Amino acid sequence: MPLVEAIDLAKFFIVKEGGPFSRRKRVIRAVDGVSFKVDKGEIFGLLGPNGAGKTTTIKMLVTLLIPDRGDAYINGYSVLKEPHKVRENIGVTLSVERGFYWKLTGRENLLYFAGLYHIPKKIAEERIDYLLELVDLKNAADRLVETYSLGMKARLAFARALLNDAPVVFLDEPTLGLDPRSARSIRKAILELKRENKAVVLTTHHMYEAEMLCDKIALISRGEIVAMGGLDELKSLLKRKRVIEVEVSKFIGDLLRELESYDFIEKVAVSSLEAEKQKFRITLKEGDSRAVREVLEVFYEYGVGIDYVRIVEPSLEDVFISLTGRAFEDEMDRI
Amino acid sequence: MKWIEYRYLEFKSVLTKEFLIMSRYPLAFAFFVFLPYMVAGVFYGMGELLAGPQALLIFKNRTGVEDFLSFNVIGGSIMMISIVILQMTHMTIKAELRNGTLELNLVSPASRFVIFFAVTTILSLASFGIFVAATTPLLLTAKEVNLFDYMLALIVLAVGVLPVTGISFFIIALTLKFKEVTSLVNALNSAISTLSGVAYPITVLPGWLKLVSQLLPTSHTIELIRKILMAHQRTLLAFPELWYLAAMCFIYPFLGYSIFRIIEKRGRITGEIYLY
Repeated sequence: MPLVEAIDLAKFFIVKEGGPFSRRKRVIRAVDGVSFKVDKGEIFGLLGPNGAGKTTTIKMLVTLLIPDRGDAYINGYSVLKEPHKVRENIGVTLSVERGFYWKLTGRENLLYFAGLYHIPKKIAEERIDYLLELVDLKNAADRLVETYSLGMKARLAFARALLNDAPVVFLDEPTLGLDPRSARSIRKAILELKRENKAVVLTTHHMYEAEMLCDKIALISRGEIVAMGGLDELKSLLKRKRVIEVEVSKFIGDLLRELESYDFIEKVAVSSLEAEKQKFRITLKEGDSRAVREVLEVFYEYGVGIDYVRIVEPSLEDVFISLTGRAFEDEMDRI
Repeated sequence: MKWIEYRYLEFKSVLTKEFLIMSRYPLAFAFFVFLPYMVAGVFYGMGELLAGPQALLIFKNRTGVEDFLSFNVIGGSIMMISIVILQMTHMTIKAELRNGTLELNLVSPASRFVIFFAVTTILSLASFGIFVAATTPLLLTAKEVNLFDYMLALIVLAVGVLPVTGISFFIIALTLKFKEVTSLVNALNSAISTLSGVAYPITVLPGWLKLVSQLLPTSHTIELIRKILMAHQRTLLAFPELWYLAAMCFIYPFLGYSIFRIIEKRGRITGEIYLY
């Protein structure tokens, strides 16, 4: 039996737009038809840009939101029919920055939540000591949380998610905004959960993080899972396709349109760097040997100075672009 | 057995947390202790201005109240109870929403009723402290110090606070739904102050307002405590106010929590309760 099973989850929000005299209601499709399974000892990643529906999916799984359609089972319990049982079987981190009582110390915060999870004080104290050691916060445990850095709060949030030693752990963007050292230590601890045979569901928009941590990844875009599988499985979707990365100092709109019109080019994604600099990420169709030279010729024809060119291994972002036709940045702009 | 143990652990955790947070703002409640005296001073000043040196005499003739200060301080300190419980409940829930802690409370297996009831309980205890601090000078300067009466008054206060915590569930629901309801809470507190007979007996109110004031737990609490502390009447069970209060102890928490449950469930569908 999988520890997490989401079946056709859907959530629609009604948002109000406009001023007080011209209010309009609009339905936003936050999540639509999301299904997946996570087994014991597996790390499952929901990868997608901001606003793709990752957090909404997590909130339905942890019973904070009631799905408009579908159901999910956590350790065999339905989020719709047995939310109370679900809550007993999960550990959750929703935001690394928020979610603490600033006028309590780190230890007091953990003791408080331990009480809500029905852990008797003596057992809670031992568990908290162990967790503070695990996340390297022992020395700061008796300081008020208001004095903590973001990295420390993230580690404390992680410790809180493990307080009740639940079989399923949900981590929503566990390394968001963290410095590399803190992010590394959180990732190390997440891998430790896998060894403890827990099922971990994490959301992220860092490709690298998903590649490094997850056994299975679901690429999510505009509320739908567009692809799901192991890292190699996902990358095999672009098997034998080549990706050229071209960095230029000048952007010309016509150039983009021209590139998109070539039949040997599958997708073109453009992202801004500093000032006028642009990075083109061009996915070529399978087995077209003339393509690289022809692409570069187009740039020369437009008189665009090329700063560098390289042929790269397809990444998860290329898979995302190939499946949705949009780069992560485009999706974020939509929100 | 497990059920009781779990509820106890939840209740104790929230109580401890709220107590620790309050203890880190040591002056937060000091103002409320002095306010009943300030309010009495304001009313006295207004009376003097309108009626001249005869003000206290006229007040006595019209209301039968001899001890203007005790009358006002008792009324004022019970008014503080409603202000502290309702306003601080709103502020606490608002802070929970803003800090993202509310979601983490709701995602735990803890009972929602216990979580929020514990929040209002600690505020009730704080308001008890305010009542004791505000009325102790009266007790010390009274001609006849009667601790039995005082204990009786505290028991009545405990009964009177419970319906107010029921109203605070309604405030929690409104905060979850509308987020910023400070002005509404202030309006409610003003209505409670005006209609509960804080500075004058309810008997001077017009008939229909008298009826409305009967719906407020504070009206009956003030009336009963004045009877005990000022008139030294101890036949509590003979007072209809006590029975009204006892009924409100069930009706208000039930109504307040029912409204809270409806809004919380609706909020889990729309997602609006987690926004701030």
